[in-house]
Amino acid sequence: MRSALAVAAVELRVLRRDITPVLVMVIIPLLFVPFLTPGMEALLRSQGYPPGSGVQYVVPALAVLFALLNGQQFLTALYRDRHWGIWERLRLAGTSTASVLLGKALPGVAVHCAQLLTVLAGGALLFGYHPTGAMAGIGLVALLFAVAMAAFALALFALCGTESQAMAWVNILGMAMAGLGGAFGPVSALPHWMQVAALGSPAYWALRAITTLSLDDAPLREVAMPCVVLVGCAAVFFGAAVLALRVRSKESQ
Amino acid sequence: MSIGPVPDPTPALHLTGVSKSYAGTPVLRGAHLEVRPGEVVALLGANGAGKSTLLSIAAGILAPDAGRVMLYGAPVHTARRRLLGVAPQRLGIYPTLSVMENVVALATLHGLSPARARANATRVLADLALQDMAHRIAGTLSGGQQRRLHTAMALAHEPRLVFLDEPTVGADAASRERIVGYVRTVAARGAAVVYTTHHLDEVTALEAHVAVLENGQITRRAHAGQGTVTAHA
Repeated sequence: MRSALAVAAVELRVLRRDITPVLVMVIIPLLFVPFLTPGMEALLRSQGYPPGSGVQYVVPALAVLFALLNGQQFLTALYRDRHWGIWERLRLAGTSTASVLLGKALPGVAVHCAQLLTVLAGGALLFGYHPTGAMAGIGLVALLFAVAMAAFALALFALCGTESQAMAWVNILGMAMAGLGGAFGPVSALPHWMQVAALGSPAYWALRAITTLSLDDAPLREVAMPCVVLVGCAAVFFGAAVLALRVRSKESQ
Repeated sequence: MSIGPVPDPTPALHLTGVSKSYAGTPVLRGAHLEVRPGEVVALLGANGAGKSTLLSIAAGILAPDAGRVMLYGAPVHTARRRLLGVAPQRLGIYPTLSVMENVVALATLHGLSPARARANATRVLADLALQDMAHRIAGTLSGGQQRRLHTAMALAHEPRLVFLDEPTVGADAASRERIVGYVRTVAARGAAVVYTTHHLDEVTALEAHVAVLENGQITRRAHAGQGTVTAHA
């Protein structure tokens, strides 16, 4: 654990040197809010939601969408250390692969989580987004979603042969998960088969939890189920990553 | 009657019967190597002879097909973190961090407290003539300066066994001299050093024992420039 924390400390220093990529992932979704809100407002009003519901949906949807896209940055951080020759040095310093990955995942999770919450906070300040349910629930969902997304990026890193393959898949799968999850419109408006497929998307559970807390005055217990599913998604992604890394390690020995 | 210091009987590095093959092609065939504290061993061999493979096995990041690696009498996996300092052949630095941050980062990873890591880093940077660049971003240094930083990162935690894999590749004459001089200092302080190079003048300057890796085995001479050959393989 000490090694992982040491890796995480260096990772944060590297991140601090240039936070532009993180800022971009906060600014762009906030730029999109005024463009997407009117259409969503009309759609939600037709489903019986009160006036002002559009922004209550669009802000969390964009926060989740861009948190998914943020998976690229986590992958970049993993591959960057290989380009810099640092990965080998970390291993030669007696740091296990698990500690290196954990050390890189911790700041990744923190950034994912902070980015998602900052978009929500920016939406509140700039566009009047005001969740009516338990605020602690939003924080919890943001954290669990960030963990699941870090595990997702880790799985791609372990499973893909090259950086360009991993980048391609993180975008393709990220967009698919976002669409199925309701980031581009309510899942209820999608065809039936997509609504069934949505259950396999972590974005669906994250967005369902946040919109439940934003639109429906829901208490914390209402998001227990999505939280459990997000933990399950993280476990599956992480398990796949560990398995693939073990196979690769055996092949390279 | 005065009695001199008793030499430490435990080798800093003891490789016994190490073999390794890649896709059925043997690279190491039962290689033996013993390095004592305070000793510099220059590991020589043609490109592709298996020097980097041997160092990776000795550092514990590559498993041998057969054989044993002991560092100061302990298995490599339990002993390496504090005892071992490695500068791999490929340059490995954080180009966006300062010189000082790079050295402190590695020293901390090797288990030093931040305060001690910083104190050691200051000293090592001075020894390698990088003290005036401590706050410069590493990516802006010249090739030779980066190579010295790369070496400093392997040494700031005061390892008792040091592997330097072609540490002067791409370095200018002044940087090479600095690195070689510092390696001598490190050995004089009691650390064992395994040094791979293609520059025989460095071997002479280090007064190193020579271990030649060929056909997957190690043949060792007493000293650079001497003809005595001791078979260790």
